[in-house]
Amino acid sequence: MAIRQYLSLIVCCCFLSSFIQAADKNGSKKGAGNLEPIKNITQPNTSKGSVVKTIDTKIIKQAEELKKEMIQLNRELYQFEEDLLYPANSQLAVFLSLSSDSSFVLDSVELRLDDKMVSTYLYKKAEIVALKKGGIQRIYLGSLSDGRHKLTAQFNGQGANNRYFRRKKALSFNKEDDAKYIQMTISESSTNREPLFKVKQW
Amino acid sequence: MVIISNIDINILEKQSRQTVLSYFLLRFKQKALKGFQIKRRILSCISVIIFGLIAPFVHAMPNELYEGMVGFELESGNFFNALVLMDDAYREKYPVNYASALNGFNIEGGVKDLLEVALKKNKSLGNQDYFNIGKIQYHSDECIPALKSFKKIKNKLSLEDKQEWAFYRANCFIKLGSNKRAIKALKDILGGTWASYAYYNLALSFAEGSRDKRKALGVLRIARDLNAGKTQEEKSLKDKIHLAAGALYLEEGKPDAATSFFKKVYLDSESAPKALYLNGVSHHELGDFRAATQAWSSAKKYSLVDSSVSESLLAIPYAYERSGYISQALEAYFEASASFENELEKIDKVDSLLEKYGAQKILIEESDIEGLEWFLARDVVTNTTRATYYNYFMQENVIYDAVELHAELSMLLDSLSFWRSQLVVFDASLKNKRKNFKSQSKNFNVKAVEKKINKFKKQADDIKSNKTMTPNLAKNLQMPAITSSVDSLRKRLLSLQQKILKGRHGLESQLEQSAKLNKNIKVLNNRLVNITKLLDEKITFLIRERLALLRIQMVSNFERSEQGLIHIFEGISESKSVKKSNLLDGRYK
Repeated sequence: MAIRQYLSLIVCCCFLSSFIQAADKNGSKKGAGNLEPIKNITQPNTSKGSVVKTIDTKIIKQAEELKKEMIQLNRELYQFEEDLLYPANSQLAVFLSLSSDSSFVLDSVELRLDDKMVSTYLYKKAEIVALKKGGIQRIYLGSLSDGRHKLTAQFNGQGANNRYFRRKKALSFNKEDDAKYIQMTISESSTNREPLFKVKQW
Repeated sequence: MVIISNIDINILEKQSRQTVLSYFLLRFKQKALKGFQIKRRILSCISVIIFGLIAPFVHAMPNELYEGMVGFELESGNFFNALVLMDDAYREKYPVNYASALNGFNIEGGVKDLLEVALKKNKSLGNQDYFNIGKIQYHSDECIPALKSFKKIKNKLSLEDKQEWAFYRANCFIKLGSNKRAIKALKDILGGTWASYAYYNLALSFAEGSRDKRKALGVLRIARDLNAGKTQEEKSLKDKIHLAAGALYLEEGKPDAATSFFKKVYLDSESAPKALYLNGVSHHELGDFRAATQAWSSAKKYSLVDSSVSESLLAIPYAYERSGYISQALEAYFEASASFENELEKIDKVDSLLEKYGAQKILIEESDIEGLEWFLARDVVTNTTRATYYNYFMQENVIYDAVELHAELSMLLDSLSFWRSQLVVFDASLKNKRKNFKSQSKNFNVKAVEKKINKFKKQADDIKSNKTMTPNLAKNLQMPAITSSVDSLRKRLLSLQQKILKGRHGLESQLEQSAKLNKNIKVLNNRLVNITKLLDEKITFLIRERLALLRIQMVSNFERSEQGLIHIFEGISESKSVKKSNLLDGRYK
């Protein structure tokens, strides 16, 4: 209650000062001096004044503690999910990276496994920046039986000189009794500046 | 210098308050479209996609891929995902990245210690590390250490990073009160949004610190030239630049120059009400009362919560009065008073509902509360009454922070809800597996198989020991192969027994783990719900406080309007020679 009164006082003072300002400048003019349009558009912004308010530190501490526990719990949950759904002997993960000097602006990626669409992704600007800064995105994670398989990736985006590209890259691979990691990298040809798509099996 | 500071006091750094606002508006929209249950499903689906892609974090995968994955989440600004992915080894190896992620997810505890440890081992720190350290320090208002960190990476960054780097350095100098050094920091910048923001901030600083506005205006010109004005953010900044330039010219006593800038502000921009109001003031100063009234009248379509709209409402009758249109002035004062009264009713209504239901129910969740339909109208996102009120509330830093925290906690609650539903599926699948496993293992009779193997072995031994058996015959009958196949049968039986035992234990332990995780989810969910409730109370209190301020402002506006009315009536009654210029004047007389 006391804070509210104090804040009210501050606001009143602000208004009073704006009135005085207007009156000082135009005091000689005929009419209602303090009714003249003021140039100073006063917002009752308390954060600017001497009263600095913060969220209750107790709440912040509790929230931080909770966030940390949530991170830990999520970690355990992901681990549990991996053990259950994607055990190491049947796991297939597909990654995408973008070379930092590439001018290719990736719009989307479509991923097919044995001619069946398994993943599509539309990229935001921040994600392209993250990829260019060395980030590697996992675009697919799944389980796969042993044997021969075919992976096809279609890249859509704009290359140098705003040319639109739609390129497909296919890979036949053999899945054995352990996890399979496939990394696709987009780079750029130094001669004609066309995007290049490379595949690496780990 | 008051104009600039009051127009845009909160912009000293490039941060968009729209993010949190849009989050809440998005929540409203989703709920409005498909209802609460459907929205939750949508969120779950999104979570499935997001969480599914970042899923397992323990990297049996090559280290290069794992670190790249963390880097991708970190650089994309998905700090929660990045933190979940980081294992102990990564956190130890990359303390700065860990600190950045914690800082990004608004966990302050431990960040300083991590930075200290990182800076002690400064040999292993790279340019990006120093850049990240500098940014963390800058956001903690530690400008001097931030500048020291930024200094270590001079000329070692990409062009894009360099612009951001120069922006932070310039802002540090502005905060420390050295505009000259801020100019030096910006001199290498070639262009882009960061540069435009940096110059805009510098112009505000010049305008606040000096009576001579020419420097500020010059810097604003650079800010405008560097702004491409293509994206929404750039357009919004361009409007702010035009508004600030106009306000400075007005302050300088050049209203004719000011109007040309105010006219450039787009009408759908958040700066539009202020630009319209100040444009009216400029015309008023030029003596063009008709144009002034037109500008102020255009501002009437915006919400009264914006103080420039209230001022416009009050300025219209003033201009009429100055032009000698007494009857129109009276009409305009009546209209203004009615508008202020109407707004006061709205404020009281929102306040009483906030008191009754709390901010979460009124402002965050969808609600069909009777009498609040006008407030909850959701046809247009940017210009509804609710959006204007949100903008007004978010101008208060503490409310913004509280709402941001609320958004984070809501995200965590959604993730818990996602996992709870996942665990139900996992549980059912595991129990089914266990059931099948039990029935199949029951059918598997070890003793009977052993007996068969023994019988087979005995037959093989009998054949081997037969008197008629010669080495050639044994070779033709493949006796060694028969003997070894008996051995391998025994081995396979033994391994199968072990597998059955292991499988049984594995299933049991997975079920136990699932139950444990479920329990943890419940506990954390309860705690999250409790803290969200506390936060809701806090936000409600803060918003009501801010509403009280708005109420005071509205009462004051109402009083000013009434005062204007009285003034006109006094003038009329005092005047002995009132000319009946039209019927309305006669009526009021």
